[in-house]
Amino acid sequence: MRRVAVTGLGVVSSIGVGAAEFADGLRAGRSGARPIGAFDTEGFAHNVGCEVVGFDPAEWLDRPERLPRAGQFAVAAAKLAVRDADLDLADAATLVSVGTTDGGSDRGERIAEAVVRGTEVTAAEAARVPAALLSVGVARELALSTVEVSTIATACAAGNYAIGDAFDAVAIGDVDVALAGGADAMCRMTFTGFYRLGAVDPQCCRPFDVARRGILTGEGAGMLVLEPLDAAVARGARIYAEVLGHGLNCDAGHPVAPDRDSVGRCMRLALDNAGVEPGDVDLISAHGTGTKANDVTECGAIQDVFGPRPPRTVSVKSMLGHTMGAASALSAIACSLAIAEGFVPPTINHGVTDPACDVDCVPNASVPAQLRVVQNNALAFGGNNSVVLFGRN
Amino acid sequence: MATVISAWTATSPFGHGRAAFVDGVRAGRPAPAVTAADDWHPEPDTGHQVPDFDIENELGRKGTGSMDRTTALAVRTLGRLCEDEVVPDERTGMVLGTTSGSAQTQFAFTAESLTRRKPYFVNPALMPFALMNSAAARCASWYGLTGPNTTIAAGRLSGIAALRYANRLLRTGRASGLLVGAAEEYGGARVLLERRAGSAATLGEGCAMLFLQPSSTVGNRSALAEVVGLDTRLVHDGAPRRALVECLRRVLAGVAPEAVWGVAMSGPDPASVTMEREAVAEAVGRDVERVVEPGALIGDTGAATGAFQLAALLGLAEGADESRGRLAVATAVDRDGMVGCVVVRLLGGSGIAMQVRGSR
Repeated sequence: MRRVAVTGLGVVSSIGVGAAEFADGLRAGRSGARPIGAFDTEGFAHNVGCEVVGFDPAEWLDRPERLPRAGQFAVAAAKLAVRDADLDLADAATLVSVGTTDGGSDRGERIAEAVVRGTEVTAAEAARVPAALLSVGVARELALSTVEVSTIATACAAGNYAIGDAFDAVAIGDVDVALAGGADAMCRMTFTGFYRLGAVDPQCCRPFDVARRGILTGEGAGMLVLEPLDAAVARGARIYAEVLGHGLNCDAGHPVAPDRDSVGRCMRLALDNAGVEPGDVDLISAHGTGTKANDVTECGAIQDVFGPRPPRTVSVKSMLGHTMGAASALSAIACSLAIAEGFVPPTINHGVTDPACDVDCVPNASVPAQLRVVQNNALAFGGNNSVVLFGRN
Repeated sequence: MATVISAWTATSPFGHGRAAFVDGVRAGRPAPAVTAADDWHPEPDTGHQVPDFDIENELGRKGTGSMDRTTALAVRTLGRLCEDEVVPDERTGMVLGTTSGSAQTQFAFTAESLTRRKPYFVNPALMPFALMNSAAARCASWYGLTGPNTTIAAGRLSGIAALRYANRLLRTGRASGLLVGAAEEYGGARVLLERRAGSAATLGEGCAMLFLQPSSTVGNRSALAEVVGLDTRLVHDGAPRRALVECLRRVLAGVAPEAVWGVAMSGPDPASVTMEREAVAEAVGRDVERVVEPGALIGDTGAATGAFQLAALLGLAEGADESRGRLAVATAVDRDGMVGCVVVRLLGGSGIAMQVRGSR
């Protein structure tokens, strides 16, 4: 097994594009919340989301019209990550793995709307729906041919699934380099679904707060470059962090409610895989959606594993909203930046911590900290859990 | 460490279960087709549907009220394996391929939001079934699969993508065994998307599922096939045949031409099948004895195509003594530009019923 380093970060988010701008946003506790413009929100009582504004796909892609918006985000983030890693992929055996919840569903729902309204559905629109396009699009725009592509569709944990598989692929020598992360675009279907479940906050996302009312839907992409640690050292690459290991399991239970015991088991799987004791973990970047059920269950599971005084536990969704398949990838990038730059991103919009979520969520302002090991949680509908551990190199 | 296929089954337009599929493939005649239309595709369309597949009849009323057909096909297919041959343990998991999940459910959800008095007067129970991980997640819930549970959206390359991902989970010890396959439903939303995207192929539906294990946990005598290798390419120059030949040559390097016993094509239409056939002939250097085209028998089954190809090869190999120890090849082509192949060695085993139970 080879050790695996994170050497490049690419970000498209509502609080900044590129690793440096994103790091500034995290450190400043910037909020991406704004009125949704991606789709018509008439008839909804509130319409706040964390949208990426000012993104021009033509800046990043040769053929933007071939991809859904999530695919365009993925390409931009991948190009940023490769540039950040200062890496030439021409002769490298490469894995491109992109996690997503909705894939091209933002196009699909426009097609459904056209049928409902009796307007025409074009060939170009239909061709942009398949979710495979996210990873295929990255490979195509990066001109990679002998490449393993993978679009992982395990809902809101998909980013971590992609990073976990990329870790394995690099560690056991299947590939020389992996580009892994997640991407999603604002989708009316997702907003409507969470809204109907009473799980969208009217104003802002406030994880672990006694007054929290749910998620804000968000969008964006995060991509990480993973390569063997030895290779990274040999070429003098900047190493943000080392991927120490991961764990994945399934609740095999309720369709949407997380299972405390199963989530705890997933964290233990990851800790065991990384060879890390709970006491070594200095920070947890939680799934932390800001829904009543998630935060209580997740904090309970954290205490089951880490004891009554767990490490600081933050939610970057307070700043980014819930970017679905991109969420755990952006969170993984936040973990890498936190380790490399020595700070803990805050949980913003925080008033009073819910006693049922008894964690230090680093309210509202980031703090400097030297971090050894950081844990990244992701819990999806369907009970698809994935936990990835990052360490300082 | 080798990975072996130790069991499989299918729910197909030929009927429910493995025997119906094997009989249909051996007979080599297309499954019955029906003509249907719905709000999403009002013009009548003829496709190969799974006969007599009523979700409530198959799975009962509990938890099925809003269930999509893709998920139901997957749950029912897994049920056949769990009832007969596969006994899951705590680290048994699932890797399913998909195109875009259940388009029918996603479109229905959007239509409700657009046509009701308020845009949020939608059926919340539909939501989990509109997500692409619905089939794998419901399968896990139905049969208690607590191991890794992953959905890979690779379209017509899903068979290869899911096998590759699953193989890695087994090689890294993250799962004790994995149910690998895909389901694809027939419905007006999918018909609309396929026709608008330019496909004139007859569509089909169904689910095929294989059980993958490390060879160390199942006696070689009982395994059906061993995964020899796989490879994929992204075509940039519009020449899929050349890319497919490269994939085949890489995986079959050092293999004598006569070692290849069977090949299954992915193509949903004659042009694609011809291209795949020519690529195999070029890479192998001779005509392969057994050739099967599931697309011509059960229609274009989208993401399930790859699993159906392997199922067809395994079905044909049953009782064919000359196949034992030789190779079977499945090729795949997607309109997104991906091509690939997977090669398995046929072991002539009869399935794993005794061994899995005995190993626990």
